Amino acid sequence: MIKITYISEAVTAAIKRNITIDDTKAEQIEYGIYMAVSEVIKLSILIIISLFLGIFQYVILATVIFGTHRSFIGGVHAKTHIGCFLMHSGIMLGAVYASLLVEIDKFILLPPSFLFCMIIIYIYAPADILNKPVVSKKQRKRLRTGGFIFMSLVFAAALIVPQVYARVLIFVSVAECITMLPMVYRITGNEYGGKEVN
Amino acid sequence: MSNKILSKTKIPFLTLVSAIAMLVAAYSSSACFLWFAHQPKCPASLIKQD
Repeated sequence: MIKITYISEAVTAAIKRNITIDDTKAEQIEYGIYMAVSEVIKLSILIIISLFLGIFQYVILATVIFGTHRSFIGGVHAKTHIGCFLMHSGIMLGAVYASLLVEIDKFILLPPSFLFCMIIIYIYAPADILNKPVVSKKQRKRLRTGGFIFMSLVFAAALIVPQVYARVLIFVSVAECITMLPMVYRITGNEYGGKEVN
Repeated sequence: MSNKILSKTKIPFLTLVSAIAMLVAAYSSSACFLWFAHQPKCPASLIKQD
């Protein structure tokens, strides 16, 4: 099985041979290639699965919302690619199927979910990990504010979109907030990265 | 023929790849995480300090 590290190292070596770059830049390029390749592979597999299951539009919505939430407020990370893919796919497909099967009115789900998400963001955002700590106070503040704003926009959108889409928005937002909880960090063997700056 | 094309396009292609990689790395450093990609150890040069 080809490891993503082999790809990122090989491409970075080719870049270093042909373009003059220093070691810091090379390290950043290797990291960027690794992240991009990892992201594209996982997204492609998830899109193919969702097309087969006939839930493409819901999975795309869930993925965009979940991914954007993570950019702002973080959450746990699995230790391996397989674990990461299974966890992410489980959350996406689980949230979509729950939205399709659990026919609870969005106006009943919205108030407690919104309150839960806001409290969790207030207490734990940005929930980073040791591999990628957010140590800058300015950055932490910016991410937390962004998290509040984006979460509010998602719940505002849930007010106006049809029931199933609204439930997708609510369930992925709640799932995202659950991934920030200390209990989930303990279960998955993660540690908060920038906790000392809080 | 194909070798000529390859050698002509190699540098622009690798420049484009490194620009995209730098963009991804920069976005990842200003976000909490990059969407849901597996998170390897982030280079120290990308960790923002006050």
